[in-house]
Amino acid sequence: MIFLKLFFSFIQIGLFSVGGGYAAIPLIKEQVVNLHGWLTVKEFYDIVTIAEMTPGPMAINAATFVGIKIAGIPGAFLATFSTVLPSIFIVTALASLLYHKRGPAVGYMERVLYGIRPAVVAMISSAALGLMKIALIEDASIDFLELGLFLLAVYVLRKKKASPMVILVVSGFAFFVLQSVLTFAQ
Amino acid sequence: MKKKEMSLFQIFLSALKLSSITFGGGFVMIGMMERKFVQETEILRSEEMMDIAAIAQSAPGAVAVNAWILLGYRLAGLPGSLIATLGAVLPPLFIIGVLSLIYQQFITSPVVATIMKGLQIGVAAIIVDLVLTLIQAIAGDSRPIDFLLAFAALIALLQFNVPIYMIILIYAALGLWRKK
Repeated sequence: MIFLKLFFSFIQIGLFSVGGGYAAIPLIKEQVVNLHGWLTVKEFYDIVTIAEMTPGPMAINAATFVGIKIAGIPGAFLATFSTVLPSIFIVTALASLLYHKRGPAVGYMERVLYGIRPAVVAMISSAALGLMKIALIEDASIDFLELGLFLLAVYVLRKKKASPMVILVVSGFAFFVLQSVLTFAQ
Repeated sequence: MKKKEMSLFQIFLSALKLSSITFGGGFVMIGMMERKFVQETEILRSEEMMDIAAIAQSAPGAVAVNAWILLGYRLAGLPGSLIATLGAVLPPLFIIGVLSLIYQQFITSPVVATIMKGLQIGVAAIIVDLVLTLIQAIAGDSRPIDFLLAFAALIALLQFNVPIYMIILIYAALGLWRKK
């Protein structure tokens, strides 16, 4: 039964994730944390973080992680397969339209895409709020060291156009050093 | 245009290789494809790559996987799509598979947990940066209705726990109905 649950859950993730990996975050969370309780909130955001540092799409990474945890290696393969299955149908259908006859389908798709853009912005914002909550709040209050590092990182990203990978590595390392110094000083 | 053929095995290998080395999501993958298939090998024309990019982004699912399905189809039809998909998902499957075993072992270590926390602060900053960019883009389009729609979706999501598929379907229907 667990395999069926994984299958239907990740098929929905594959089918309704639009607008790229960050927009998929709330959808994946809805399925694997809120509905099925396969991961804790902390584990979920750990995966988002790991996915950010490794090659591969967010949804595929989450599928593999959840699949392994819930049903071992067969679970990982099944969850990944379920995630790409809707894409295989939809995108090959679109490909055959594109390469054989350019019909009105492309026009409809553009309008759908245009329509869901605000929803995509909302989903990415929701992912941002969730991550800020897990990254900056400790025991129901804001941690000022974490907040300071976060604001600095946002500033550097916006003003200096730093590469996200550099931001990740530096903030991981900097936080570890600062935290160690603080702990040592106390 | 020179007509060049690629065997299924070559398609599989290219997907496997690019998928192992491409960090940073679907848009980076499209950039890597452009370099390999348009600039280096001249198998595709630049406009073809742009079509692939547009459809990969608009269809549901992971952008990088969608791009490989399209590219595989363009190179070798449906078998090409399937083999490209396999090549694209195997590296993340393998990498995350190994990392998840390591994760279970090491997440209890305070050192690992602290570094993880720092990385999460970085990820939060990256996504907030993206949100700010998106808000600027909507403001630049000067369509206040898009702001309202985005805000309404956010409230629906956070306050009323409206399922995401429902939000997507409603907004897609709105898109078909609204005039551009």
